[in-house]
Amino acid sequence: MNLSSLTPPSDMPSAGARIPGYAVSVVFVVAGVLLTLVDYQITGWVVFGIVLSLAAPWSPQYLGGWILILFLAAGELAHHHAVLNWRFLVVLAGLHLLYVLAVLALGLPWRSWVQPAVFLAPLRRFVAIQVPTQLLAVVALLLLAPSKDGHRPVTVGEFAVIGALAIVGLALLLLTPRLTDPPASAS
Amino acid sequence: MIDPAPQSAPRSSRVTATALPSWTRSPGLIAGGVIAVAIAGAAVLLARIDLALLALPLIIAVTLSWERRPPQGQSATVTLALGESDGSEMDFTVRIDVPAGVEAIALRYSLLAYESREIVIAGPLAGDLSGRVPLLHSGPQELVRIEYRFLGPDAGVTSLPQEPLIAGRIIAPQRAAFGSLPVPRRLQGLTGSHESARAGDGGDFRDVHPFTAGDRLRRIDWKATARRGQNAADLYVRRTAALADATVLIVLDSRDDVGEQVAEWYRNAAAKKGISSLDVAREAASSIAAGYINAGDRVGFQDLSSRSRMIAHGGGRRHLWHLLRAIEITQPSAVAFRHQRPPIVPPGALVYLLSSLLDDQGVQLALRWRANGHRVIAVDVLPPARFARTTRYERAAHRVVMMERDDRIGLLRRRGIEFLRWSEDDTRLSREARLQLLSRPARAAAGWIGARG
Repeated sequence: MNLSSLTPPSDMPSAGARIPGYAVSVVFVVAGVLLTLVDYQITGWVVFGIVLSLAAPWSPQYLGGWILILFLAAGELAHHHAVLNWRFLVVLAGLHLLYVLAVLALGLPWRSWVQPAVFLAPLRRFVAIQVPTQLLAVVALLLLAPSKDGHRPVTVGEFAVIGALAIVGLALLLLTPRLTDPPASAS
Repeated sequence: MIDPAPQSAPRSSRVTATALPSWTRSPGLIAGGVIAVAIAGAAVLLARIDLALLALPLIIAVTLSWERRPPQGQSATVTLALGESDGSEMDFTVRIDVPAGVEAIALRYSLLAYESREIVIAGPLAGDLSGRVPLLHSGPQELVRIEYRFLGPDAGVTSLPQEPLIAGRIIAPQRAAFGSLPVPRRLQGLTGSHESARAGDGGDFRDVHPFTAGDRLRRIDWKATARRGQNAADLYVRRTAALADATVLIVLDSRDDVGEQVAEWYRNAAAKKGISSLDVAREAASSIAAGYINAGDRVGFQDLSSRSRMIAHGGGRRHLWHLLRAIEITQPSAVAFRHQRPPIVPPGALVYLLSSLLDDQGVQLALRWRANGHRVIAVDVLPPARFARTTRYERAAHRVVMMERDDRIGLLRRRGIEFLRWSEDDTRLSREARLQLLSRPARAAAGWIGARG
């Protein structure tokens, strides 16, 4: 296959497949490089991140994309403590985006042409997860991240209460659908 | 020159497959779960809220993909149907009824058994997909082949690829009509549309002959009798030619199928090879068969690559339908078939050998038939060569093959076998004119065709 042959299929026009499958890989590379620069800024580690960003979509079956996610998450350890800034929020969204793109790159044939509607459901899920997660991150970091003088707005005891409430809420969220489901009939 | 492999899958105009997809987790989903747990574990060990927050969307995404996977046991139905054709293209539709939870379908399809294309369509939009496939060849052929697999949420859960669906159709060759067709050297039977050499009823004036026992009195030509008679007992009758029918055997050499594009000879891709020798052969065979049957003659058919595709000579509309059907389904066989004995030719029959003459087998058969006294016409069905995208070596190899073929054609001509090129290109005479030349009395025509044909 050469570049000149990369045209949407004209023999099945009703499919409306206009986006090349490798576009997912291209977006992954761009996102990976930008996140590496945001996370590690100008350090020697950037080279490793860029190499991973380029290599991961080339052979997605080797799961290089997931190594890149781990690498970027590890970048947060460069800070001595959690801080709330725009970089963290970008990385928070970026890691999730990289995961979605990596799974899609693994599932979609790179030679294929994709209907734009295929990306709608993953995009909706991404937004549905990210909006509350970003809000939660802002609130959590405002409450729990220590300031420059080491003072924490919420003490460990208060955090335990909040954590317990959060666990109860999460448990209710996960168990409610199961409790309301009718019991499976014995066959 | 490659014989295509025999079709293992059934071909029809409408193919439906219902399958229970077998779902598997993508390695990406498992890896996502692992790294999410690893980041969350590091967050606990290092007491880092930021790492826990980074793990949170990954855990939710993995959980959602797994929870919303399509349920096991729901079947999917895919229907591939060919529509009507306008002669040059044919419509086809693909209908996919997907199980709940399927977000996308990865569909791989190929037209005319050529390179496959892959498209990914959204599950909710996968109703009727339609397309068009060009009809480039006659005969049995695979028109559309599709393979598919289903993708769950975020492609984190996928089904195993399903068995391919193949839709094929037998395309009838075009038929040409001719004003005159050659006849055998010896006509047989007492009925028909051709005038035989015998005196009899039905034909045009033949000669004036002395009256003999059995001649009807009303045939006496009194003017000729008065002019020629030496005495009162001399009577002369006007004789007419008897009518007879011709017996024709069409022998189609379908052991190879090469296209006009020389660069495609080694690959023989239906979509790229252009007009093929079997396309020309099917058109020639069906035109010849229809021409003779419509003239009231008897025609038989023999396919050199198959023992089973042989039809004894006969006449009539029903026999023509049998012949055309046998010609339509002619295709190369993957198994080489060598004749121990040449196919039996009815006495006095005219034999048409339709061959690309790229090997000696057809030539040997034609020489045997000619030696047995049959009139044999070798119809060259090799289309004019085109050299797009050929290499220097391919052109040289083609030249060698053509030189060997010219030697065979020369041998056929020297042995009294008439030669007819079916393709219209690069010839001074039209096909109709060449057939008219062959239809002339054999003694006059043989030399002329040998010189110019």
